[in-house]
Amino acid sequence: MKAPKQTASKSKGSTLVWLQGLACGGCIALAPGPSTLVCVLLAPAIVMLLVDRSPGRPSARAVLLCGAAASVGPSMALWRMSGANIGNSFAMLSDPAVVSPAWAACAAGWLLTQILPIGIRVVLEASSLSRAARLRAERARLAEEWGGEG
Amino acid sequence: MPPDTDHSPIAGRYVVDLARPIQGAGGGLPSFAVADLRSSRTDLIAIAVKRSEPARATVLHDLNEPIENLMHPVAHGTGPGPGYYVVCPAPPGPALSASMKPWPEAALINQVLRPIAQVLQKLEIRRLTHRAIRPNNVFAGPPGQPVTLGCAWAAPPALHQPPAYEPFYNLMCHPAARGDGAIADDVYALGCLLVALAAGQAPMVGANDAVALRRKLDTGSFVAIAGDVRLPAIIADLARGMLAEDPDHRPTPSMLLDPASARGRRVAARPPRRAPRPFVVGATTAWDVRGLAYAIGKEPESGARALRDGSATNWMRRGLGDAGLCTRIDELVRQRLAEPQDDETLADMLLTMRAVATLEPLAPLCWHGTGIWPDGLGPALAAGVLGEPDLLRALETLVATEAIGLWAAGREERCDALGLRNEAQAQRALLRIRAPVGGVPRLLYTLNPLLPCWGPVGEGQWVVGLETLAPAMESAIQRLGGQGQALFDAHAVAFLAAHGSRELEMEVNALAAHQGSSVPAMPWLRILANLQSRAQSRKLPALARWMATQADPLIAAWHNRDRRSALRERIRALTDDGLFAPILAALDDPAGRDADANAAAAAMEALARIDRELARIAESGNERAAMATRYGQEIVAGLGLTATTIMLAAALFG
Repeated sequence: MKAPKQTASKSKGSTLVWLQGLACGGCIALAPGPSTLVCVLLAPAIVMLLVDRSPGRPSARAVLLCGAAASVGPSMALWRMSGANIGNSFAMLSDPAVVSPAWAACAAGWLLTQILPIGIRVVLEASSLSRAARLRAERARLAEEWGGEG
Repeated sequence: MPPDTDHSPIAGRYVVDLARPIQGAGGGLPSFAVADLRSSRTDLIAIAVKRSEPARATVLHDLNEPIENLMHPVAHGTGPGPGYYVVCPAPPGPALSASMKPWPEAALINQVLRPIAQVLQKLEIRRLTHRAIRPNNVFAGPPGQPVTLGCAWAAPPALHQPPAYEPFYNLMCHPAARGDGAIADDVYALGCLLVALAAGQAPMVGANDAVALRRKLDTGSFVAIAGDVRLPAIIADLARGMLAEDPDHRPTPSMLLDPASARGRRVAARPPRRAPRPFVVGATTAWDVRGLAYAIGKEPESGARALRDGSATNWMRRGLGDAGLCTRIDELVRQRLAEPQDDETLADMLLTMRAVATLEPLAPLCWHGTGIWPDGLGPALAAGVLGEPDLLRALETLVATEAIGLWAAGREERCDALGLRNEAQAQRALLRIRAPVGGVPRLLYTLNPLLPCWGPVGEGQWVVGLETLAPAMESAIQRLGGQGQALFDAHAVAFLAAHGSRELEMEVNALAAHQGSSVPAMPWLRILANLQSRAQSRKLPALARWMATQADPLIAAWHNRDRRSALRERIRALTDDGLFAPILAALDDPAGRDADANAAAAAMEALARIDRELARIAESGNERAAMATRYGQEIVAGLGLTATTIMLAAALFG
């Protein structure tokens, strides 16, 4: 019973990758300029997608979303130009003021995925320690009241 | 003016003055002057009871009306010394033994025989006996007046009788085991007294029990006692009847009131047939059946051999020609040999006991070389416990085998066999109860109601009733200090069980069921509270303090710490009052204990729950780390999505 399910899931994943690749290929073929711009701006996120092997790729997803937020402005600017061709795209990419914010956003996203869990863990541990202390105090009171000695 | 004393007066009115001993008034026992606090009466004396020779409880209880010419008991109880005293009227004159001179015949009849016969008649009506008629216990009155019988209640019956004054069969017994006997035994002693007074000298002077026995066996009582003395004819005739070996052949006290007719009474007692040759059992020689019974009873090992090998019956058959008796003895021997026995010695002892009862139904129960009357078992047991270990061992086996019942079955025509069998069964049941409630001490105190409690509680004190037990324990615990546990020994428990009333039965059973060396606190507290109520709530602080230490495990059994502390404080405060009932009420709280146990169980459950929770917190560190990571990444993703959405919205609509 398990083997057919796995086979179906694997087949579905392969189909999705194939469709994604088809979509990307279609985008590159139909709009090579914007596609190039977006690929370069989201290059750290693409790298993270390849590197992050954890289920759901949470770090890559966070980096991608942060990078996407920073890429919206340049992409719209390219779109509004007279020709969203590949030349304009490279012209924009040659401007560090366009690439740096996007990559910085990606870095910020990655940094947050590393720092925020630590902060949250500190909060959770403090809460647990506080509860343990309360329980120990209650235990000591009960033991004193009902203990054998005295 | 009454003497100073620390003791309560006997019966609330009689004070014994130890500084004023009265010589020769106690029939051999110490006697003292007595002051009566409620009247100016000065004619009373107190006779001291020896610790190992208990007073006669039955007589002291039943003889509650004065009898003329008898020093009847007026009261009895504990007194200074400490000691136990029987208060009775002082003798009217000196003891007859003080000046032994021949009495004229008329004086013997009118001043000795008739008055004493009257006393014996009244005693017989009350089913009592005197058992201490001897010259030093019969007192002369004013000239021409009757003599007075002395006190016979301050010692076991016949314990201090000279051998001449006891019938042959009583002499076979241990002195303490002669028992209350019958009024015929008093008639015998009176006959001996008459001979002594007529002769003006004590009979059988210097003869011990064994010599007197041998003489009475060989010649008969009258000849052994009277010897060659020339007696007035009437006295000789009367004495011959009164000194008959068979109690049934002696005249009754009523007959003695008319000496002339009593003199003429002839009971045909067939003289025992004497064998041409003697038969020797051990070191004892027998010439007739009575002698054989005596020899077998005295030397049971040799007697059993002689019975088993048939030499005794052969001698009887050839020398005495009593084929019927031989057949009965042979039957006993066959029965003994046919029944396999684990204990050969015991089997031989039972054989000799049955053989003696068959040969001479008048003889006492012969056991381990000594005679015992069943009603003398109590004082004999006291003598055994308090100094004669061989006798004690013999009596233990006697009771354990219900030998008294077996002996009675062999002479049913001479005793109440059914009653004796029931008594033997009851005594065996007491012996078999597990110590400390049962066993020899229980039997000892049950059979001797006036025997003081021995053991540490009785040291320096005279404890004869439950009322005196608790105050005696208070005094003893002050003396013993930390060694108080010694007080709660087998003697104290057996004494309590023997004297205990129905209301103490459950507590005594609880003492019996207790295992281990500790003192069972709750049963003892209940007992002491009960005893204290009997003693008019006299305070017993030292005993209460000691019992409180024994009750500490009971307090420690409470689970709640605060409750424990409060209870401990309360008990401490109550012990200073020295009253057991409030202490008992504080400790004996079943409802409180149940509530405490339930609350303790709930607390234990809460503790377990807390422990489980703490363990879960300690073990869930990785889980919390994973959760933190997941939450952190989701938050960042959410922020990124929000920023993207805002940027897209701004680009599209801005």
